[in-house]
Amino acid sequence: MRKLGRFGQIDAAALAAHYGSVSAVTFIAANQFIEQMGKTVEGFMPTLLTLLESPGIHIALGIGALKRAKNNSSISSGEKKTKSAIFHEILTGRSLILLLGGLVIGLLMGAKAYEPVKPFFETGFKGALVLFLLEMGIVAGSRLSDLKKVGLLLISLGILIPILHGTLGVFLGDWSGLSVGGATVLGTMAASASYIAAPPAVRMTLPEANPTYYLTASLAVTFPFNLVVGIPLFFKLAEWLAG
Amino acid sequence: MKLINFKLLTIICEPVLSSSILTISQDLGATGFTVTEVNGQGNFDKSSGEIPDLKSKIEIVAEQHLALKIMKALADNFFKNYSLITYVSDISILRPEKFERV
Repeated sequence: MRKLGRFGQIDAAALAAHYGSVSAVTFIAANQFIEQMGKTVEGFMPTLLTLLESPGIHIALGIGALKRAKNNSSISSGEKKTKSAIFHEILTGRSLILLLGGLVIGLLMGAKAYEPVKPFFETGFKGALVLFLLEMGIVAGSRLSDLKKVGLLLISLGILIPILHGTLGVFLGDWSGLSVGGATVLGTMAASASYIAAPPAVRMTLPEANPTYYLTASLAVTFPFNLVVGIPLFFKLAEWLAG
Repeated sequence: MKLINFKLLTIICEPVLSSSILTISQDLGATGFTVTEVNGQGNFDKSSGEIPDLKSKIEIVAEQHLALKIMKALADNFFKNYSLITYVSDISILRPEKFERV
């Protein structure tokens, strides 16, 4: 991003944090797509989603924060957050707590205890997902005017990065023995960019980074691209690899 | 019933700053706060980076010296890089002891 897009270190680190993390909504959409294609996905994928959510954010923010501390001696005292405060911020973000909480509750409940509540979640889920996607569509649409501000290069990166990451993800998924559905979902996760967990963490840690860049790229470019083009593309690739 | 003159300190900021601002305010001596979710537009050239693009409105009842101390701390810490405004208005209250640290 620094070389291709000529972004400053801070903006590049902020973008890396978003693309290093994953989008749970894109993950759910990929699962639904696989189901519609008549395939199955390995049951441990939600655990993988939880595991993949934060390391990318941590690494990118760590790099950015170190560069920032080196370059900017005039950081105000309130912004000089200790490392533990930054980790606390990322690890206690709402989305991570919900994902981890869901896993722990699932583990404690077991499959048998899920049966009584299954109709509530499985019947209403698709309807709720449709409403949520419509809402996200409106939010993404409201940022479309920002596309003019970020320029063609960032828009291109918002499309090329998911293709590159997604292809790698599908290859690695296939190589590690995942099913066609699993490799597609892993590829989709690698291709997706976070736009709920990463933005507040980046805002706290790298306040000089311009949110217009990272939010527009992740939400207005990459998110719709993955839903419309990415997921079917990764599915085709996974099918081709599986022979 | 006697009304006592006090100040209402209002802070409108990016939601991500709320917890830091509340900690600073309480460390400086504020005894309570009210937080509401609001939306609006200012002249800050960066969006708040939140989805949806909401803001937090923090209200603190305080004596003038405390309100000024909190404002100075906010200016030192956050004015440079964040979307934040703060102002003080005159209010009248009934129980001043409610806003004093014991």
